[in-house]
Amino acid sequence: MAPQSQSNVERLAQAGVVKAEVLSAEEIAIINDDFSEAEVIHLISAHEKLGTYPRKRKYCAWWV
Amino acid sequence: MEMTRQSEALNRKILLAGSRLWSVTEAFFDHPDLGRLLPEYLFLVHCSMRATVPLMEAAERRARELSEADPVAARLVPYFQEHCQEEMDHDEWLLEDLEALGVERASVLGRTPPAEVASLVGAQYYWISHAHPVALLGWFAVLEGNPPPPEMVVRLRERTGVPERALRTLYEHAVLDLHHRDDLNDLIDSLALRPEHVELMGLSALHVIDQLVRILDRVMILAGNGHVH
Repeated sequence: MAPQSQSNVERLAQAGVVKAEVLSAEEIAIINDDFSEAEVIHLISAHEKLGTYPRKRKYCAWWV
Repeated sequence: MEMTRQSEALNRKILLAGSRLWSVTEAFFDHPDLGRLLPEYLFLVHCSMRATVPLMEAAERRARELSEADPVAARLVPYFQEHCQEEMDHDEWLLEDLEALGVERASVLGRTPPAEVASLVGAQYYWISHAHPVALLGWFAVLEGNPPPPEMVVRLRERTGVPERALRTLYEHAVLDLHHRDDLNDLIDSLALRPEHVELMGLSALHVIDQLVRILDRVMILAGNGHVH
């Protein structure tokens, strides 16, 4: 695969997965630095809307 | 510059990617017909939980096969062995919880598990067999990393009026999973992970999040259409 010239956030924004303007600086850093190529592709294909839901410090999955 | 711990990086991704799951979870537990949804929800949890120990056994077998030449796999063997013991028979607890709600175990065990759960669990078998058993740590990072707190289980009982014994599995896990989460983070931080391991754990965690969203959505959609009784 050709090297990506765009950042992860830019690619996800282009795919409609994130709205860069609502992400915090910390979230942008996580997406750009921590998410791998396969994870970015997964998020694009699943069309997961990152960062568009209320973010909480405390949460739970309710699955055991 | 201080290095980010490996577990911290994974959990940060889960926190961000999980925002939709936390939102759907909240909608589920705020549902006006929560009491009616509860047996269906516990049935689906059982569908997944009955696979927890077999999944770890599969991961342990694969890790053992790889262990001679793979130090990460070698470290996973004792972890899965021990964790298997800790999770043993928890699906039996859930059958008892469902019985307390009037759902017979034969009807739970005889019902076809839905595709969303098969996808949740089946992907892990695939990654364990064909990629690396470290994938299963992504599963546990989502499930054990974010257990329902005990006070929320109490709130659930108060809201639905179900007997306390119907929520045993949720109560127990509210406490147990906190220890399991710490053990898991310690393990992840102790592993000499390669980039492909980190990616696989992350992908596994993202898939778990996706499927849990679909499963909770399914319960609410079916309830809205009158298909959950």
